[in-house]
Amino acid sequence: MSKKILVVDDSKAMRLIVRRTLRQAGFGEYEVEEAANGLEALERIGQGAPALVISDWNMPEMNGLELLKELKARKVQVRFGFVTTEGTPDMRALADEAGALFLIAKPFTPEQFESALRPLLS
Amino acid sequence: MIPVILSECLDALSESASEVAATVLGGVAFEALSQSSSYGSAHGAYLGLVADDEPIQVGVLVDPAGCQLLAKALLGMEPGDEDLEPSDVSDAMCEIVNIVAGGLKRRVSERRRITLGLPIFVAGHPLPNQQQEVSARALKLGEVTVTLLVLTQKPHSIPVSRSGVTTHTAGEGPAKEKSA
Repeated sequence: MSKKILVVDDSKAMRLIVRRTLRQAGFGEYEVEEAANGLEALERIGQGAPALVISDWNMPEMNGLELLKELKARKVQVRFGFVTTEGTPDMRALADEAGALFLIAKPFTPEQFESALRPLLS
Repeated sequence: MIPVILSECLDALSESASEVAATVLGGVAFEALSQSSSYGSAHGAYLGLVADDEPIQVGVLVDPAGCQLLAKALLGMEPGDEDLEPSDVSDAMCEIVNIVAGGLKRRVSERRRITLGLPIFVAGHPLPNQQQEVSARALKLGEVTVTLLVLTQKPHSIPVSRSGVTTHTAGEGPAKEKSA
């Protein structure tokens, strides 16, 4: 399995927070790459699929849901989950339907990362 | 008297801010203060949203030094660390209002359909016009005094013209455009 995690978020601050939370949750051995939107993420994934994509939902250029759908359409095999403010039941259902493996609502804790990601990365 | 939607939004924002303090701000203390009527000198991060069909603006207002402290807390830095660039402060404050507004959405989503807009950071205090209803609540996040602001259109208010000047009031005759 690749030892890379791709963090996709248009906020530099949030990318830093996700990096920090990954470390605090015990995933410090993974190399973290960043993309600022779905298009950038597609380009990075095209250069080699990471072990996991952690994506925001609302982003310019290409949002997280569009990114996930595009990856499915291209038949790219990659684990994918959302970290987003959009944590309502409706959004969770949409994410689930599109094939997301988890949706962590902001604000989050390292414990939430640990319980959502450990089963996927072990 | 605060209309129900303003009160509901302020309660949800306040709960959401408490959650933000306990998590992504690193567990800083949260203290709810009083209803606030003062937000004069603060900078602010704002986010527009639509609750059912009603446009609402929510804001997290903090003085400039407080913005630095909150941004540093969000990024896991110490208060005494070198000050962040304005663009990083703006980014961090936008993320804070984004998370706080997202918490509002989660809390009221069973009663109201909420669509979130984009956050923006503004240096300077807000100047609501006479058609707008503003309600504010003060709280403390660690050492930083924060004002949560909710702005709505007053009931039965008349939209302002593109120049930003009200063109007529209810009960008056035909609209008369004024220059800005």
